[in-house]
Amino acid sequence: MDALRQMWRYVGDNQAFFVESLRIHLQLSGVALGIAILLCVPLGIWLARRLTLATPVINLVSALRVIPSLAILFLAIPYLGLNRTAAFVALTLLALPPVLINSYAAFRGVPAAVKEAARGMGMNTWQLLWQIELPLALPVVMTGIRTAAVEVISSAALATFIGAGGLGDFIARGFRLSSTPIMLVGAIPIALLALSSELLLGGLQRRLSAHLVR
Amino acid sequence: MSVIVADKVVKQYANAERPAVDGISFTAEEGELIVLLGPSGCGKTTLLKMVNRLYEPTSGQIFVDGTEIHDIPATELRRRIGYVIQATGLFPHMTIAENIATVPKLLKWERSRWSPRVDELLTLMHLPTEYRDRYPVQLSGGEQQRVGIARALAADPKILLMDEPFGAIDAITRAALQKELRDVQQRLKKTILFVTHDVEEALLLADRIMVLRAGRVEQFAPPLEIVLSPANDFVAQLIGADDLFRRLSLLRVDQVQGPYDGTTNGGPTLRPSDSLRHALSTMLSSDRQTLSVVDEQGQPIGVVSYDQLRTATQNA
Amino acid sequence: MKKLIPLLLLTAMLTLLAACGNAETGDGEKGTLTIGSKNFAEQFILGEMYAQLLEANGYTVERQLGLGSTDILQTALVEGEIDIYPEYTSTGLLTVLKEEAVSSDRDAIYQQVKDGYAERFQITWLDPAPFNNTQALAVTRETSEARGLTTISQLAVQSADLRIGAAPEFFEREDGLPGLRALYGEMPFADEKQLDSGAIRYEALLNGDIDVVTAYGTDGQIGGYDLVVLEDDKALWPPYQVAPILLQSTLDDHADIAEILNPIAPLLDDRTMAELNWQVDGENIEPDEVARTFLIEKGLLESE
Repeated sequence: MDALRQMWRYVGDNQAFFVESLRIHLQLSGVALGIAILLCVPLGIWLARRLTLATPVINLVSALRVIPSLAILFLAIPYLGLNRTAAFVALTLLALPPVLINSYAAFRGVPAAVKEAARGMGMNTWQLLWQIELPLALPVVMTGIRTAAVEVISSAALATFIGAGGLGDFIARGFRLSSTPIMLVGAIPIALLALSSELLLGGLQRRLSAHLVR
Repeated sequence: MSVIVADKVVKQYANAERPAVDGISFTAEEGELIVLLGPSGCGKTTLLKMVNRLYEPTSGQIFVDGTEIHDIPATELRRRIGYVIQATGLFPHMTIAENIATVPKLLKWERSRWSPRVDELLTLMHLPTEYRDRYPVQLSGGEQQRVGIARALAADPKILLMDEPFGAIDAITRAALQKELRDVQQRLKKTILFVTHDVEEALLLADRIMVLRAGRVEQFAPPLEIVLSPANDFVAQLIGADDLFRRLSLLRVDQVQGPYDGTTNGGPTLRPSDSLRHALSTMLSSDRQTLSVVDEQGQPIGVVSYDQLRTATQNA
Repeated sequence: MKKLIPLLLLTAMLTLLAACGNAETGDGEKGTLTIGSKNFAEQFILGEMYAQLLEANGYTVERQLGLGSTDILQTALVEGEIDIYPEYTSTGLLTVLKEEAVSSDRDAIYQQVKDGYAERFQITWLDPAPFNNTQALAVTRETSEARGLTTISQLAVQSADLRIGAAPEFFEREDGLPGLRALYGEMPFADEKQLDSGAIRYEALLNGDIDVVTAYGTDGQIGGYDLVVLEDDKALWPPYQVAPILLQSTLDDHADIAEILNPIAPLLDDRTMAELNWQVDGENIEPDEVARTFLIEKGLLESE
C-alpha cells in the first residue's frame, strides 16, 4: 500500500511527463493496431479468395511471431533509427499475425452457400462484402484484433528500450532505481489499458455476434 | 413468347476433358416447371447456373424474357430471377424479414412496399408472420427452406431457378414442400427450372423433364412420356421404367384419367394427384374396374379405368 | 532478467566444475567466494579480474556478473548472496550512504565512504584504482566544434537546441539531471530521450538521433568514437574511483583477499580502463579474455 501511495505521489509530481508518456503509449499501440487492421483485414479478405497464395503468406506472417518483439525493435534500429517509426514498425509487425490469420479464417469461414445465395440474389461484389461477408466475419476478425490489442499495449512497454518513450519509461526507470513505486507508475496503467481494451473490444464483439451465435 | 430460350449452350471448364454442358438448346414456356434430371456430373446444375450467370457460358446464347442475358448487367439479371439453393443460403445475421426483403431492397423498394410483401409471402408459404423478426437458426430446416422460397419470390420474378432445393430435407417435410411448391406454381404461374437427381421428385413436380447425361440431353418430354416411352436404355434405367409396379407408383391419376362421363358408381374416389399404384390397390380392394376422380370439393372431374392402368404399364 | 538467471546459474556451475577439475589452481580448500558486478563492460572486466586472481590463489569462485544496479548489488552483498563486487566511491557515498561529500578531494571521499560503509554495513573497501569513471556528458567532435561546446556551462546556454539521450535513472537521481539543473540552471532540452542501453545511447548519438549523451569517464566509446567529454566546470560530479568491496567478516576469514586484489588497483588509470572497455564494447572480445590477457600481461597471472 505504501508503494501505491508513493506511486500516486510520483504521478502527482511528474504529471506532465506521465500524461505525455500515456499519450505516447496510446499513440504507439493505437497506430500500430490501426495499421495492422488497415493492412491485414483487406489482405485477409484477398487471401480468402486466393487459396494457393494464402498458405505461404500466412506462414510467412506467422513466422514473425517467433521473433521476440524486443529483437524486432533492435533489428529495426539500423534501418529506421532510434525513433518512434522503429517502434511503430515493430509493434505493427507484432499485431499483423493475429489480425491477418483471424481475418483470413473469418472470411474463409463465410459459408459458400450464403455467398452463392447472395450473388444469385443479384448483389454486386461490394454489397456481398458489406452486407454479407463482413458482418458474418466480424466476430472472428474482432477476436484477432483483441488479441493484437493486448499484445501491442503490453509490448509497447518495450519501446523505451529504443528511446521511443511511453509508459515503459517508468518501468525501466523503476527497475534501474530499484523503485517499485516508479515501476508501478508504468506497470499499472499498462495492465489497466490492456484490460480495458480487452473489455471494450470484447463487449463490442459480443454485440456484433449477438445475432449469430445462439 | 418463350420465357427462357437456350441456344447451343456450351460450358467448357478449364481443366475438364469434355464440356460440362455440350451444346444444349431448349425453351421454357410461361408457367412451365421444367425439371433438370440426371446423375451427378451430368451438367444439370451448370446449365441452371448459366441462366443467371453464376457461370458464364463458353458459347451459345440464353434469352430470358426475350433479352440475351449478356445484354444487361449480371446483377440486374439476377434480381429479375428468383434463386433457391439446397442449403437454403439464408443470411444468418439477418432476420427472416430482412432475408425475404433482400431483392426488394436491392431494387430499392421503400419499406412501406416490402414490409407488407414479407407478410404476404410468409402467409403464402404457410409460415406465421411472427417469424418476421426471428433469425434463421431459430427455424427448422423445412421452415428455413420455405423462407428460401419466399425470398426467391419476393420481387415477383417471372422465373425461378431451384437447385436441389429439397435435397437436404427429411422425407416427410420434403413431401409437404413439394406439394406446396406445386400449389404455389399453379397459383402464381412462374416459370421454374428445377434441378434434382430424385426421379420421384421429378415425376411429381415436372411439366417437362430434361434428362441429362454427360452434358447432353437424353430426353426432354413430359413425365408420362418419359415413363411410358423412355428414349433409350439410359433414361429407362434412370427412371426405373422396366419395373411395372414402380411405373404405377410414379404416374399420377391426372396423367391418365379420362373425361368425366356424367356417371358416378358410388364407390371410393381418387384425387388427381394420387399415384396409379394407389388407384390399382383401390380398384383391387373395392373390386371395381372404374373409379371416379374428384376435385378438392368432391366434385367429379374424370374417371380412371383398369384398362387405362394396363395401357400405362404396357405402353413402353 | 528472468532469462539471465538460468544463464548465470549455468555459467556459475560451469565455472565451479572447471575449478573443481583443475587441481593446479587449487582445490577450493580456501573456500568459495561469489563475485558480483553491475551490467556494463567495465564491471564485467573488473569482476573477471577479481575472480581469476582469486581462483589463481586457491579460491573457488562463483560468478554472478551483470546482476544489475547498485541497489541490487548492495542488497546482495549485505545479505551474503555475493561476497565481493566492484563499487565506485561516489556512488557509495551518494546512492548508498546518501551523504554529502565532505570535500571534492578523491582521497577524502574514499576515506569518507570507507568509514561510512564500515560503520553502517560492516563493509570494507579495498584499495581504489586511480581512474575516475565519473558521470559525464559527451557530444560528438563535430557538434563540439560547430557549437564551440566544451563545458556543461556552455551546454546550459545552448540546451534548448539540443536533444539529450540518457539512462533511465539519470532523470531521477540527484547526481543526474535534477542535480545538474540545480547547479547549472534550468537547462531545458529540445527532447529528452530515455535510453536504457549504453550501446544504444552511443548509437543514437552517432546516428544523429540525439546530440548529447550521458557517458562515463572510462567508457571505451569516448576514445573509440572520438567524442568530446564536456567539462564539469561547476564540479557536480564527484570522483568515481573503483574498489572491490566486501563484508569485513569475509575479509577477517580470508585475510589474503586484500593482498590478492589490491595489486590490480594501481594498474588501472583512465586510459587503461577505457582501452579495456573498448576491447569489450568496440571489439567484442569477451570480458574474461580481456581480463586474463591484461592480468597475464601485467604479470599478475601466469600464462597457461
